[in-house]
Amino acid sequence: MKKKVTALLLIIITVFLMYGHVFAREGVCGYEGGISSGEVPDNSTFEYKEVTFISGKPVVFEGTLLIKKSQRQDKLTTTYTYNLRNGENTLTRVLVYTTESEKWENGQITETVSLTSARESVRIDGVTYTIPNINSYQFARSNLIDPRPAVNYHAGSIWSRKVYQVGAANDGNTVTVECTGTFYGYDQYWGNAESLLLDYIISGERNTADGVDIWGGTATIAISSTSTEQLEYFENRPNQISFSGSYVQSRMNSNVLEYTCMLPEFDSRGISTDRIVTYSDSLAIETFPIQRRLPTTDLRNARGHWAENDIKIMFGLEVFKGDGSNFYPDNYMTRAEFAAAMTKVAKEVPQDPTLITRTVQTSRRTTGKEIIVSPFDDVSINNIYFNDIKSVFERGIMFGKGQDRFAPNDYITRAEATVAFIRALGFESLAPAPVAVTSFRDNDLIPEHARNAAYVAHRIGLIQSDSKGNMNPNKRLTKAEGAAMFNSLIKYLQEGIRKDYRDRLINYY
Amino acid sequence: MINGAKADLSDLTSDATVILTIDGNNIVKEIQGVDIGINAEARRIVRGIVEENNPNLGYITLYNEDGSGTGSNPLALRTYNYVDQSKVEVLRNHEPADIDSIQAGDTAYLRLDSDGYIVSVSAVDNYTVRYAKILSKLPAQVIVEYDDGTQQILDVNENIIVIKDKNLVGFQALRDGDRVRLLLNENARSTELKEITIEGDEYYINNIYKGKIARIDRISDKITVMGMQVFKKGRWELVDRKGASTITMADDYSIYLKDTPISINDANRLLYQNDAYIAVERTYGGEERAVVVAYRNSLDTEISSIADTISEFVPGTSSFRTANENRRIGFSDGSIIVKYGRLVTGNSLSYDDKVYMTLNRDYSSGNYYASVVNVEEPQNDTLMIYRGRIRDINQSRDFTVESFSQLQGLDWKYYNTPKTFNITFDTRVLTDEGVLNVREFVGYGEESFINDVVYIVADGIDAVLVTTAPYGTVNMRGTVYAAGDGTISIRRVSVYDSSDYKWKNIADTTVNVLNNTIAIEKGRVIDPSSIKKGADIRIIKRDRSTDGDAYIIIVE
Repeated sequence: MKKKVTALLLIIITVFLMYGHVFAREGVCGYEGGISSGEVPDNSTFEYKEVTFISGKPVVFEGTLLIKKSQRQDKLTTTYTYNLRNGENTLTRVLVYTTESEKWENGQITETVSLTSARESVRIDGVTYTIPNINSYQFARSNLIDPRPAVNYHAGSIWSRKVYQVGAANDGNTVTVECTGTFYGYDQYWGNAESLLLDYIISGERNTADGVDIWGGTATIAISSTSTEQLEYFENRPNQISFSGSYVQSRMNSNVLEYTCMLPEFDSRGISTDRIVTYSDSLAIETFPIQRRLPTTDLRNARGHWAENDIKIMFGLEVFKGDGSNFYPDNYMTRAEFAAAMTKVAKEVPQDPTLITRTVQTSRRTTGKEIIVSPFDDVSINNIYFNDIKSVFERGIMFGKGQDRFAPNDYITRAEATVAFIRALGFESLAPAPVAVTSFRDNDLIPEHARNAAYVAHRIGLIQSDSKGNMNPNKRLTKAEGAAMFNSLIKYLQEGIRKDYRDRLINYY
Repeated sequence: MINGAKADLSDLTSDATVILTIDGNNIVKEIQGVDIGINAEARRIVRGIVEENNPNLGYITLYNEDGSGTGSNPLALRTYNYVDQSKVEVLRNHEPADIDSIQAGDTAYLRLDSDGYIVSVSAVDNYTVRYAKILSKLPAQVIVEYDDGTQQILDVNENIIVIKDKNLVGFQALRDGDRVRLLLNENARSTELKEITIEGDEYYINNIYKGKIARIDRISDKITVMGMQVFKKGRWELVDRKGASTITMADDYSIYLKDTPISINDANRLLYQNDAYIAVERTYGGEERAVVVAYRNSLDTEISSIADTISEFVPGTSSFRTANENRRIGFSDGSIIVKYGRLVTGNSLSYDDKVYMTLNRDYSSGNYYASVVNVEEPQNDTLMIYRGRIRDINQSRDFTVESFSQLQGLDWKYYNTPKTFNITFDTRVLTDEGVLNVREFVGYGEESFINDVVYIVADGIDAVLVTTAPYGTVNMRGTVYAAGDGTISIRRVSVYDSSDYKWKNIADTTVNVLNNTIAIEKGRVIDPSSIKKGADIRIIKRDRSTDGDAYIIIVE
């Protein structure tokens, strides 16, 4: 009997509610010169702060921002709803963007964003500033996303022009705000960030008894929105307890904004003068941290070892598996073991939880079991590390050693580990051409294919030389050394890369 | 054989593609040239990282194309010569350049002629960006500390580019304690500093506090301080908040017990409710974060807080003497030393620095040491206050007073001579109603200012502020205890009696702040509404009454 199997295929974009995932958050602050509290699980309404210059002075509004996203095929519709106050002053705004994506052969994705609906009303000191419809708000945004094995990077630019109607429409008074800017960001399992650098030109035109008062000013806003995780060890106080202590994983969102503006001073009648006043200030929103205790294991074999803390973290994060009693820190680490640990550290980028799911029914006739084929002759599909090896291979983090061999039981070297790290980060292009020359004393001993990775890893602080200035590239990694290297990578993913998108970007802009 | 024809060894060019026939003894028996579709022109292009460029001797050396060549064998490198450097076409970063602009560490393409000499070079730099803090600025060097704690000495030459607030500034603008972005040419041979960008005041030390620390909480990263006081101009003053205050720890912080670093665990375990000094930096949103917590040994004694001038450094010791104190004052890693807002070490203090200090005395040795040293930015005292009758106004350009008085100390000194002041984009005019558009500061029509008597606050001959506030001759001093709603109230009030040159105490006073009141602090005109409680001010008003209007307020 012919079995007709009609499978109802649900395409679900899964919202990860499990703690520990930090979500993709491009655009979480909007593009109106403000900051939000960012994403927490199951939440699309955020605390929000924004500075506006349309009244001729910076005015900070606070309130809520609601972001709703829905995706249909390659079009993403995002609605931003703002409800803000500053004492008696109010700001309400609804913007609807449509994003069209195009995926390229090299895996990169370009996005073009257009504004399909815009409404805004601001009331400051009794004066109303209105954007009645989309005709008063021109907007263009484009973005390039470069997905890498463990990190998605994006960079884009914005250009917008808003013409506010001041007071009644037939008064003829306007304030125009033109904004150009760039934004940069990354999304990955351990943290994400987006930074915006916005430059404004504000011009006002007002009819007065003495004629038309025309004024202009400039403003610069630097925004950094980051989400990060930290690990800290807490020792237990009682002696008679089954474990001596454990790590606590804390996650929080931290969003900061710095602005500087130069606006003309207004005289006692509200007419602009030639004198330029410079204002500058900063805003911040930090969410209350979410904490989680990590499991602990008996690591007596590593007690007192120089890498004991690194090893504890690896077991706590389940990067290293097992109960710890059979863990010997100075045993060498195999390529298969390294691959397994790598899948835990360099996880895939989580999906955006604010995307609304759309279910699509299809029917499919299944004719048999899917055949799984190992990409390597020396890695059977029954190998306990098969899924990990397949994952790092398919994601481009680790490759074989030629002739369809992975050599899972070979010991991993420091150079091989470094290459895997840099591939996971997607930083191969940071090395000079044609092949980098490192400053390690044993530069010539570094395999050619690993020299670029060694250069980049050294530059970003992932690896250091030993006391003699050597990298020791061909040295086999012990499990302790592996733990230290993985911890170094995690710290970089949590904190190191974040610095480049926050203080360094804002403070030197 | 090359292209099917018999040839000689000398006919082979560098980078030729050949097939070698080798016998069992590794001896080449036959060489056959192979044309694999690369034209002869392309064959004479080589690329690599520059190991050395020597314009004097006319050669460029490249590392091997695979990145090797840093070993001690010079034959492992590729050296190419040029005969006449003026005839070599050079592009660096895609701009025409001289041959000596090619630097070690650059990625370079060299085009060679048929004899193997360089005819053209195209190179791009491979500079690295690193972030650091200036530990010490020397005449031709800087000592920097990177984020990972490593330190480096970098030479500075006259070509160094120094940037601050998007402006080119000189090397002299750099200060100890500055956070900087460095552009470096790091290569296997050396590290060369190309550019320094100075961070703004984002991480300056905002305040120094002291109090008893109840706890440093590792979960919330906050310090709980009891009885907190703030260090202002050499005095400890109570903060507004009573009882317990909390301060968040910065991402990078240090904790000391006198001069020894300690951990948070040890601090909580051993130093409950111990006195400590805390340096805080300003961060986003106006929040403060603790960067240094320096516990005081409970057996030591806090002697005093003083203002003085460094007169001598004692060689071979970490100590100095001051002009008015007859004792040697030590400092250590655990001393909080702030100079011009930046957290520095004692090595950044200089002879003649005017310091505000808190001194402690060591219980066991009896030696004095500074727990807190603060060197403030020298005040810009170029502003002068004048008063005169306007004779002439060139609208938006300048105006002239027919004679003027200049405030010198406590008195007005009269000059019977005209003086002209420039009107600039920074000139502000205040009348009884408030801000007046400078374009309306005219000498004609109903609103003419000719013959009006005005105050002028000027920087040289540039008018910064012109106000119509009334004439005041009485100097009054006090400490602000309330400010707001257009008034300022002061206590510990004294009035200057010019008849016997004495300051005489009077009762607490409340003055009105007018729309055209002048307010000056640290050599700058400020908004009177920014004057806060606790400020020491001098007021110039009409009379000695305990009320009235303030015409000029100077924050001391």
